[in-house]
Amino acid sequence: MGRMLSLLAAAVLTLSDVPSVDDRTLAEWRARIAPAENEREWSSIGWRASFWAAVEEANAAEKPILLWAMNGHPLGCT
Amino acid sequence: MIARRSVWADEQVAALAAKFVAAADEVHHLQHGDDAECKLFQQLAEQGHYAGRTEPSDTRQGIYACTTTGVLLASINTNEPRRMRRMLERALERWNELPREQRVVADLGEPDLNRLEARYPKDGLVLHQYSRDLEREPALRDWRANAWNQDFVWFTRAEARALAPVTLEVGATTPWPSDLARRLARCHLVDNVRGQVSAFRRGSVEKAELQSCVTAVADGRATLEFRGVSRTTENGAWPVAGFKDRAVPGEQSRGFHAELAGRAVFELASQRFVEFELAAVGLRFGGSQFNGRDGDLEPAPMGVWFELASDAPAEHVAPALVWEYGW
Repeated sequence: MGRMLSLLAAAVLTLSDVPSVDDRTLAEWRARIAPAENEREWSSIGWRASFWAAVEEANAAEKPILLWAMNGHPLGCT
Repeated sequence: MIARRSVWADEQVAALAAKFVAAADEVHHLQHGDDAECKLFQQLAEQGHYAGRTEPSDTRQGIYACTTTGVLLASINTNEPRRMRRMLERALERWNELPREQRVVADLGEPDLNRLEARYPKDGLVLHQYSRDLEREPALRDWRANAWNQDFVWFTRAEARALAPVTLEVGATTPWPSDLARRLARCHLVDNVRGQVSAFRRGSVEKAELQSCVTAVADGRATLEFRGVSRTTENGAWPVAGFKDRAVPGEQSRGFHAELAGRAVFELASQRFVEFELAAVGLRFGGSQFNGRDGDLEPAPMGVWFELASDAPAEHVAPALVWEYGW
């Protein structure tokens, strides 16, 4: 069954409009794929990259901690 | 992932967040580790919104407001800014009511922490990776139309050096070492646009070839161009709809067939890359349990972009599938 699905997928692939890496310049690919400025607003919060980094800083500054904990690091692939 | 745009881009949420020391972290590690950092999280999580929960999973992911002493101020798991604002306001109210001895610890000590970031290759090569769907017909109209995700790619110093020809003179070429090209295909040329995926199995890599060619050498720097092809196809039975089809996973096929092109600048004195750009473009198909492709399994265009990461701590985050590196 898996092989049938693979063959089916391959058949569909040959019929599809397959994009080529030569369709655009590298600068154009970057502009198309990487996040635009307005998609990076979430990072302006200034996230520390580990819980403990925040613990140490919060303890010294006597501030509360805000922790965003997800399956997959939120600053990486989540 | 949706929270990046829906919650944390909200101005009022950001203003409230500024009253805290903010951190982002990987919950599975915090939930299952046994060092001081993990134990503190576990203490907090078992007071929070998912305390004691085991179904549909035992995850404790979410947003926690807390003190360093282990007092949970408030917690939630939401993509709605309004609910997040309320949670943060509640947390600040509770914080203001706490006596100082419940806000801070006299001495945190210097605990040994077991973190993947300890393996960060500071003298190697670190890339920031982005993935996004490309134009398609019919176009999607909801959040999926502009969904994107990111990750990091690590190379040791020796691995990074092996991406360039030994002799850096114009016209010199070298294939990327097979293990590195295949690792890129298995761990990074994956469909994580809408969510996490597992690495492709080793046997699912049909082709993973990249070549580096020196196109110029000047001022102590060699310019390289990259060209390559990657084809991964994986067949089997697994769920593609989160927890909905977990009990009866169907036969699936997933993969990414891509062309790659890029350029880089290698500094001779430091023997390090000082510029690096690589694009992978092609068709993805299929899905996995948590990558949000249920109903979108047919082949469709996807792009992946790699560029040098900065040295900022926020970019020291380990690759999502780093345990597949074999380091």
